[in-house]
Amino acid sequence: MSKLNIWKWRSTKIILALALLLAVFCVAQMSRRGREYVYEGGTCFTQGTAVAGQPVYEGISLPPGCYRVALEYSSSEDLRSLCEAGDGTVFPGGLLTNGEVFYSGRSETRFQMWLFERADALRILVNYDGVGSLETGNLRIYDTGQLWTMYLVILLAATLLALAVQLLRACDRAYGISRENKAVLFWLSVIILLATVPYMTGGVPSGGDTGYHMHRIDGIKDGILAGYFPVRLEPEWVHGHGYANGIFYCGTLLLFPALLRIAGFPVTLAYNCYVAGVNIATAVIAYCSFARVFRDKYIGIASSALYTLSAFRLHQVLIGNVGEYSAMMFLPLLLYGYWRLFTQDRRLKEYRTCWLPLAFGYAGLFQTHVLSCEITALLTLVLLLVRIKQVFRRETFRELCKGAAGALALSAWFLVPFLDYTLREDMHFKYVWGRTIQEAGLSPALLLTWVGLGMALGLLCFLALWLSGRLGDREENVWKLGRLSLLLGICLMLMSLRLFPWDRIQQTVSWAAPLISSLQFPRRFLGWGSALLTALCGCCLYYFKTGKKHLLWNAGLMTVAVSVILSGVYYTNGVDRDMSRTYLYNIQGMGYGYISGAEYLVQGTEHESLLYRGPVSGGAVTVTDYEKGALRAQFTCCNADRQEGYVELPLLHYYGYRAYGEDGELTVRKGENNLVRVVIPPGCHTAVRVRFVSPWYWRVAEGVSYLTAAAILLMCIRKRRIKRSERGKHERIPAKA
Amino acid sequence: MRGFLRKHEQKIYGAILIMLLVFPLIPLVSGQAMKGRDTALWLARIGEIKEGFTQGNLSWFPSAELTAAYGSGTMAFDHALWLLVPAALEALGMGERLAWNLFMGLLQLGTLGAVFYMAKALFREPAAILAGVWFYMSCPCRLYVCFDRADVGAALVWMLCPVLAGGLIRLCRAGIKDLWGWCGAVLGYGGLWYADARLALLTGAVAACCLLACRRIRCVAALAAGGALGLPAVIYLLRYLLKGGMQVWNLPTGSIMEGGYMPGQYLTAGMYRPDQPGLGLFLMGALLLLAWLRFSGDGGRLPSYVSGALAVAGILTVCSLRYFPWDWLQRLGLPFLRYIGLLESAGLFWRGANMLLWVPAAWAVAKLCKKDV
Repeated sequence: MSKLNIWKWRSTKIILALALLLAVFCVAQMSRRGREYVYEGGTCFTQGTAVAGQPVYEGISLPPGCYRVALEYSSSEDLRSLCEAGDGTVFPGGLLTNGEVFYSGRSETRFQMWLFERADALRILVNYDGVGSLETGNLRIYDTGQLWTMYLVILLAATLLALAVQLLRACDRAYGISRENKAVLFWLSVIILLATVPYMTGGVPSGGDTGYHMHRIDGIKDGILAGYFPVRLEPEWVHGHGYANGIFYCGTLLLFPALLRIAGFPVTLAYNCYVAGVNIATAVIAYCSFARVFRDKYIGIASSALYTLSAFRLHQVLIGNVGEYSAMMFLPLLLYGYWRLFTQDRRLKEYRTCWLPLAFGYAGLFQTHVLSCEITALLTLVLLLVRIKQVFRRETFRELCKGAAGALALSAWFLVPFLDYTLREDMHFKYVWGRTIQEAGLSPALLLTWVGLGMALGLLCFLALWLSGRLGDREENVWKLGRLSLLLGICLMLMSLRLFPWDRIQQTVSWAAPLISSLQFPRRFLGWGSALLTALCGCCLYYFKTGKKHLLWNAGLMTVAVSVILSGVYYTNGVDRDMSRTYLYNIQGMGYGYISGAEYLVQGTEHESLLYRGPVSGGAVTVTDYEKGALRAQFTCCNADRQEGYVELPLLHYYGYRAYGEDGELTVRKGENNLVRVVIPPGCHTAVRVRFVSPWYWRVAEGVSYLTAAAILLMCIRKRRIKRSERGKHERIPAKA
Repeated sequence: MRGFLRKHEQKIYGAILIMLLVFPLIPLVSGQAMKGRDTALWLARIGEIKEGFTQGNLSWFPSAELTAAYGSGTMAFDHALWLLVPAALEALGMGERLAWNLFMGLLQLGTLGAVFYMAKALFREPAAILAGVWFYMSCPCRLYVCFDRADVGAALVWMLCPVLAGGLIRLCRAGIKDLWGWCGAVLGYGGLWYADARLALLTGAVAACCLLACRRIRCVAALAAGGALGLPAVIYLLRYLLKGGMQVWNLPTGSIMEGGYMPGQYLTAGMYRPDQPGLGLFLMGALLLLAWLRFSGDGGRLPSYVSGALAVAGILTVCSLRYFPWDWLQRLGLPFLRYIGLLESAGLFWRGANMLLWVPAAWAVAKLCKKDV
């Protein structure tokens, strides 16, 4: 290891000195955090006269920074007028904000604004549509210091990258990295770069659900900042009423962009970093899985390229199907897990770790996209039936059970609340199970586009090899994998078509109807389809390589390259060009009302009427000192009557809300439009605190998940140490001899 | 080149050369050349020259009315010298379309010759020369400028830059007494001033910096001589930059940062468009090959001219980024404000990088052809 001492290198010292200098500068700038700029004044807008970009404050001078703009206002209307900031003197892109819309139930804006250059002519502008009354008051601008935390994070990432490059150079000099390993590093980097191109051009391609997922990211951020972890209900969503998205749509991976948001990254930049992270993980996991299955690094690279840059995956990324493309990351891992389970020698010690890829794969699926689990469960069932004899071998069955238990334990923190709410609450998504999906299936032409040239040729090639009997008995396991992948791949492709009789199945098989309906789009089958067809292509390449068919091997690699160019480059460019782009810096610019299909509301809730409002009291209850926070509220109430009264809060009622008075706990139940209703006993005069509290068994489930993760980590470290010491022993023996 | 090649190679390279000759002429034969975005503007300018020619009051720079009519203020610095060719052809009775096609065809052939001249000055390997010519001629950015945009000024710049670069390379390598080098450098740079004065100033600055960095101070004299050759255009531009005026032309003085690119835009590999300035698959593939050769250590040390071209292309790419603080430079003074404003878009620097990237790409291809990789 002494050879790898990069700290003595002059270039490393320069990198570290530069990084330190910049870090000190950023930290010094952060001392301005909390500084407040106050401007007094007010503007009253004339009803009936619409104005666009009316400055309410002008000539504001501010140093670079990330600010929170708080403009006092009073509006009689909701979502009609907009407040924003502008400065014509800073360079384009030097001031980033989308402003915030006005609400009748609020008295102050609180939108974020990033200023990258000193501004001397900053203006706060109001777009008023002339409907209702609008009056603005004093302005306060707070320096949040987040610009410098953002720069610090970027600096840290850049420094780590530079040090990684230095380490790589040191390794190469000291030990000489093999050409094969260099190829892996280089081509994986190229694959990741190509997959991430549309997210390196500023903004985000405006896919159908992108806005929804940006809300999820910001929801997690808001939850963490409000002191909730893990975040079950996103507190600001549905105009501060809280939404149970985190219960039903797990956001483990979204924690990364949420943390970036907390560090001060704009929404789109945080999302773009997330996409880049998913692309890196997908390419690396696919490479590791396929390279181990085929025991060849070049096949691993080719398979990773085919999978990561497959037109279907790229399409999912571009249209913003976060759950689906994140789940696709884990499919090769599962494939590898089952490969090991059914092909590895059971007598080997390593066989006892077969369950790890399965546990992580399934846990990853649970925590990214529940709908992908459904398809995976179906395929697992088919696979286990096909391999029924092997399943019931003692060692295999034990590993399978360990895998299932591991996955469940790792995901318990999510699954327990998920099942709790699914069984307990009358959620809206249970009422959309009647919808049909066949019409949303693919046309054969689109299927071919998404399968791509490489995978289609791989399929045909393997079919030809199989039917012509050229596979023989050589490396039987690989051919078994190929044959199974071929059959399942074709089935999945057919199931994704509009021609597949989904409607008929839904009508005739009543128990399958909700499962089919919940799939929403038959194209989801192509996720696994892509993984299996990639495995098929890997089989073909394996045949060419092991059969020493150099010409075919080169032709195969060339086909992969062409396919990647067609999908990864032309397809991405084409789709990206035709799509508009979203530039969302602060989530307030989009508002907090969008909840897509409103699946996670309690049935019967009219979400259109859920805007920022105060508490509503019932009976003879009077409310004073009301304060509303994230998933919490506090107030003082007095019920002078002899009958029970109530206070209804602007919080959506989900199981878990608790209310505490001075004399003990108060009853919380569902109120009008499924809002939180606190029952106030007769003659009660008390201060009340209402907040969302996770039930104890959710906490136990969290503990189980944390302990499992820690245990697996410790086990991996121990195994690694043992392996290393064993390797050391082997190396020492010949030296002694 | 015949001396370098074996017989069967001569046939292959001959075929490639013919393809390279025919390839740029396709849009002209198919009538695509008339569909360029700025064709009407240039035809009007040619018409103006022809009119001045016949009436005896030839204006060497376009009138304010013409530039205002087409909203192209920056064209004000494009001298009429090069356009005398199509104007003369038209005056001789040739139709507008034919004269335009012929002129654009001559430009293509001129570019081919120029890049051949530069490639021969740079490389010894025939494969590198042909690959270089291929990359330059098929560069999506050049094709966009010549045919989609039909910007004669920029097309002339694409033709003359290799002449200038080739001349300077010869001067640097063969010594200051090389006559061909002097011819190339002086005529190339002088011609640039008559083609597009804005870009000539920029090209001159970049070339001078490169020569100073290579410690070839005497070669700067060739640039000075070229500047002297283009004195009318030099004076015209400098007068505006230093004194201002020309309000009637409504010349741009605004920020150019918005026209800059984000890093991902450089990697869009389709055809060149201002919003997706792809390098094209061939060039991108060759640069990827170069990166692999460097990373794997198979390529050995990069020759100084390749690393130099890469460095200059890198600097130009950084200048074309949306984050590059052109606004701050514009605040240094009025000449800076006017000159940077005239460039219109920071994306222009990426075109400059495109002009240079063929050098490392061709070197990488030559390495591959040598089979010592």
